[in-house]
Amino acid sequence: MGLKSISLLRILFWLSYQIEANWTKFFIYLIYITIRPTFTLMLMIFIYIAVSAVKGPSLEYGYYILVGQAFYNLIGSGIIGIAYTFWDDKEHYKMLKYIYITNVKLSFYLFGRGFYHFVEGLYPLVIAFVLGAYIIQYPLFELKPNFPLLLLNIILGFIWITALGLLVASFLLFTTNYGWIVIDSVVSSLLLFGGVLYSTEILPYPLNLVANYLPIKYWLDVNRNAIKGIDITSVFNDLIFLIILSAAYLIIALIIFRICENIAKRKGLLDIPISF
Amino acid sequence: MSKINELILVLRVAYARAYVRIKGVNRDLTHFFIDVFLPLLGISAIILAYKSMGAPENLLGFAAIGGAMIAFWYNVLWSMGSQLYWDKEQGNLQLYIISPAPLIGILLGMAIGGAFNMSLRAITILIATSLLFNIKFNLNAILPAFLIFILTLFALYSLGMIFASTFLRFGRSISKINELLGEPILFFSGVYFPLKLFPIVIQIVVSIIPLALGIEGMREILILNKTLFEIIWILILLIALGIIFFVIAVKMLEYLEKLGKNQGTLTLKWD
Amino acid sequence: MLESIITINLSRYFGDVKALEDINIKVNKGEIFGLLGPNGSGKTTLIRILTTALLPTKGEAYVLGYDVKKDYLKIRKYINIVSGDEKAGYGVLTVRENLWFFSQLYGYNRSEGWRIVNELIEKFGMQEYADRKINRISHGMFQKYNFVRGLLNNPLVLFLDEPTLGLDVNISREIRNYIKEWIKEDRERTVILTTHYMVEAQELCDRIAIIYKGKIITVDTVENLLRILSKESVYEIKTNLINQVEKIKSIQGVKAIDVENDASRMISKIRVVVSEDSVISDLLSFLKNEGIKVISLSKEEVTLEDVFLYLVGRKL
Ligand SMILES: Nc1ncnc2c1ncn2[C@@H]1O[C@H](COP(=O)(O)OP(=O)(O)O)[C@@H](O)[C@H]1O
Ligand SMILES: [Mg+2]
Repeated sequence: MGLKSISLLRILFWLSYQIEANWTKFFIYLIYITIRPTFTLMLMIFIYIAVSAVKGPSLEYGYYILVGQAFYNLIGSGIIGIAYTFWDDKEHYKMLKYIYITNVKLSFYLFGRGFYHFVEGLYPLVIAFVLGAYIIQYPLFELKPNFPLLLLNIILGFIWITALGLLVASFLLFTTNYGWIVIDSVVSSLLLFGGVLYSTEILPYPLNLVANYLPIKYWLDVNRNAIKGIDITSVFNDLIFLIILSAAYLIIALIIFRICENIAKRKGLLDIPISF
Repeated sequence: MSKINELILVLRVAYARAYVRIKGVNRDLTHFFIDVFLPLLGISAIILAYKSMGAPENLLGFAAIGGAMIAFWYNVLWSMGSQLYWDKEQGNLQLYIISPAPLIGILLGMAIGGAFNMSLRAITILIATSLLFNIKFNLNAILPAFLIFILTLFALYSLGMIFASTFLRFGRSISKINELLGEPILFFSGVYFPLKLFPIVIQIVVSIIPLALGIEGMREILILNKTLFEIIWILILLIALGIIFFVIAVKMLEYLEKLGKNQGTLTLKWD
Repeated sequence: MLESIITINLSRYFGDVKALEDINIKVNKGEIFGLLGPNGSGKTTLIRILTTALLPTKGEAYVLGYDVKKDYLKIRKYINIVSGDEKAGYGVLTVRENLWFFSQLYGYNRSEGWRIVNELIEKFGMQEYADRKINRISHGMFQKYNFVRGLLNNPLVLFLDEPTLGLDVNISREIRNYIKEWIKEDRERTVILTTHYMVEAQELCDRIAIIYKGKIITVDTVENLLRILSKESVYEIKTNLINQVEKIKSIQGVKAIDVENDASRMISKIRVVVSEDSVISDLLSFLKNEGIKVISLSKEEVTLEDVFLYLVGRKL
């Protein structure tokens, strides 16, 4: 990535912030972006609490759900950040035309917008995580996070989440009315198949295989271990698999997006929002 | 006599508004399947989570009922709360106002149409979940459960009517308000878990949320085999809330119309 | 009663903005009454008050003898409005369904509503797209649908707020013809029309109120308005680009002037109202002294546009 790309990325980051936060003060915006992730996490945490009220606490389950849901929220904001942004720009702002005119690659533009949402999502993640840990009475101070591993994993997460976002966006090039539904389906499926709230082994037969080819499962497991502070060797296999999958997703996503973009351009779909 | 005529007009308008809402939404059946399919993904994940922790059967049923009711809350926010604002932006509101039809008829129709659409979906979701995960409900108690259900919708959509008239003043930031009210209310309604987990003070506070009461009531009847008399307080509260919210909605609407006519805000577009 | 609308010192303020100030008009039954004025001059505000959507700050207004402040419920039965810049209706519904829905606001029962809608659809030749969703029809079709919606309750007073805004020539003409026919059908009917298209006002209106910055400048028939400039002459002069508008205005006998600059072709088009033909030679010599080249010069027929320019001091 050259100097020019970095400065472009900075502009996109700033632009995204302006678009998202222009309606209020910074402080209120900070609160606003934490509410949804926090309460979604609480909804899930209380599933665990409901069970412990009957069967007695089993902190390992609590921790599993806590990390799973906290990071799942990040996936949501990353994918929505790219795909929804794209759809919104296409439908409402008619911004995409200008992006073409300014000669920025569309995929790079989306990458930049997605990057903002991903980074933005890290803040509510931490808040929700701490609050959730407090509610399930998880001893936070016993955690010895392996920060380099965590950082590496978050970067990997950004890669595959962006890739998934691009794949969804490729699809959205051809639809107007169903944009939200496509995004929602993908994000909800990840909750079901991604090992967020439970280990994917309990899924019935062919479905559990689906999970093996989704990076999310490995990614969440590495997160769980990295936050606890386990050394790298015990998650080595997961990590390798995750790296391979992330790279594969990214390459496939870029190729598919390029193909779809060309088709859409040829059909003239990028200039005219079709809906009313 | 003229009061009766006015009432007839209100009902006619309500019927028409409900009719077009039901017709418009159900014209395309794919919408129906999507509205059922997407929530099912989420509910399935919750039930699987319960199963993996070896939770008692009751909790699965609780989650199924709560999960099916989620759609109503989103509908109240997005299709009631913001609707008059969109109507204003489109120019419909102005036409409602200058017509002889009272605005409450429009709101009533929106509520009835929305509640009907969502009920079809919620019931389908509930049946699908129970088939998928083999969840048993006390089917003998279908009638009392239905009574609770209807009262819940009455209170919930009356609240929706309050939102519709109040939110009109927020302009474009309406979607932010809807987003802020979305998940927190679902949490405090205990859509996936029993309300009893909350400290008693919170339990009392959340009983002004019709969604929380309704879910709780239906769980008691359909899963815990309670009779209506054992949960009579829920019944009474729902009726009281419904009436109070409805009256407030009517007053708000009158106030809003007066204010709008004075300040010119009812016809002015924000952006 | 002869008048369908009377206003007495009607004013409406929005904070410091005086949207309307001391409006006194009387509109007769059977009349197409035009409100002509540039954007922001208060036309829509006046219509909002008369349609009972907005209260006046001061003064009085009566529609069909009913006070807009007190008897608004009575008024509402007999009026309707069509605005050219609004997309009223529900996009997921068809033209027919939307019309039926709006018919229900006026107390028809269900089947009566359908009957009236079907009749109107036939009468206005909309069968072809009556069962298409309104978000799938063209702007012209939409405006026609919108016009028909305004007739659903068979109003006595029909308010048309820029009804042909942005429409192509054919559809505009079609809608103008409908308006003319509609008013002829029944002498009890009245049309209040706002527009900033001169031709439209000229073609349709029995009388025109020229409104500017919230005040009525004058009210009269088209002929009488044109007669205001019966002694004056109007010229159109093309020159290379000029910026001496103020100086030209100060030439004796120049009553009004409007300059359109075409920067890309480096041409100015000057339209002037002068008190007599001889003033033109003063103007030409002024241009010559300033070193401005005159490309063409022609004497023009007086139009409503010139009257507006003369009365208001700016173009519409
Ligand atoms: N509801 C309102 N609140 C504040 N100002 C308004 C409102 N409605 C109109 N105005 C102002 O009143 C003036 C007249 O507007 P309007 O009646 O819409 O003019 P027209 O229809 O001739 O273009 C404008 O300056 C406008 O900004
Ligand atoms: Mg106007």
